[in-house]
Amino acid sequence: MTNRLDGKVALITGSGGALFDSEFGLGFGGSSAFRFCQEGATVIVSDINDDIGQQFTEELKEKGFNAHYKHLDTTNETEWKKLLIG
Amino acid sequence: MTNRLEGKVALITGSGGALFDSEFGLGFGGSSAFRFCQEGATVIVSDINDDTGQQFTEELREKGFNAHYKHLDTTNETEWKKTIDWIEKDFGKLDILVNNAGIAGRNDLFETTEPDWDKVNDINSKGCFLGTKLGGILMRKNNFGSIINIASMFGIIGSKASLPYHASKGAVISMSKAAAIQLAPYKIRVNSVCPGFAATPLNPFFRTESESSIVVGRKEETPLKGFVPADQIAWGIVYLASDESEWVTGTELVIDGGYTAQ
Repeated sequence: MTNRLDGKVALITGSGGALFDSEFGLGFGGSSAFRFCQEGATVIVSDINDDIGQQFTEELKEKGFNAHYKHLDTTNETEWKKLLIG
Repeated sequence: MTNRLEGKVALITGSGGALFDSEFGLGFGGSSAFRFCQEGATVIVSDINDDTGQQFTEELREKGFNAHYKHLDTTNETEWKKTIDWIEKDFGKLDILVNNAGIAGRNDLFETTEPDWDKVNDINSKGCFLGTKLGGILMRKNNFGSIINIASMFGIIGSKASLPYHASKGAVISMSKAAAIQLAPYKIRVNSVCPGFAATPLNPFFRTESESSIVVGRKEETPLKGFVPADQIAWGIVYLASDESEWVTGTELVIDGGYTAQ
């Protein structure tokens, strides 16, 4: 759409729980991921629902956006460290 | 820039007090007028400083924007009625109203006289009431609108001085909440914006190079260290004015560099 987040790298936890055509629509995370992408950000979708998370990320990529998926249980510090530090 | 306010007609009170190259820059009103224009709105600049207001409007037009000037003393209901009638006649509607006109009032309790109290509360609080009422009457006809009232973090917290100012800004915040409920049936949203210590023409002493103890102290007391630029307030106002905030009403957006989080 525009470029309000151009050049920014963003991580959104719990953003992979639904798809664009899910019965109840996207949640806060998914909606944010979509708008962030539209505004030019590189978006890292993360969730514990890997299947849907990966599918949703695929949907974003098909729209031409720079999206990536990563499993993340936000209650687990080890997983946080892996994600952020490698 | 983009078109977040395309097709919208906006009135911003107290937005004509400075020019682009004024010594202390644009205030909240002028910065908002500029950003609103960039986002595609038709902007009505209003002020009691007609010379500067007209010049500033000319500057906006020279940039290719759709800007108009109208004299408006916000404490005067008759002037409000005339302004709103003119807007209805010339533009057919009012989508956005920013009740920005305001003054400072730094006296503490014992220094505050009745005239001090009346002046600050007339401009900051009554002006906001009149605008919300008269603007609301026109917006109601269209079942649409966003009213943004400029309050202050000093409407939420107290300080050693500025007693009438605190009172006037507290009134703006609570009035906005009541108006939000009362105007919700007409799809008119009402919110307030609460700036922290900011560098604007209203507070030129914040901008002087001579770093007085009050300037240094206030910058230091703000967690993000410094004064809030007027443009940062303008972006918050753009958000509340736009359809991006369609479900935001009756709240206050605090833009204070973290001051009130302490």
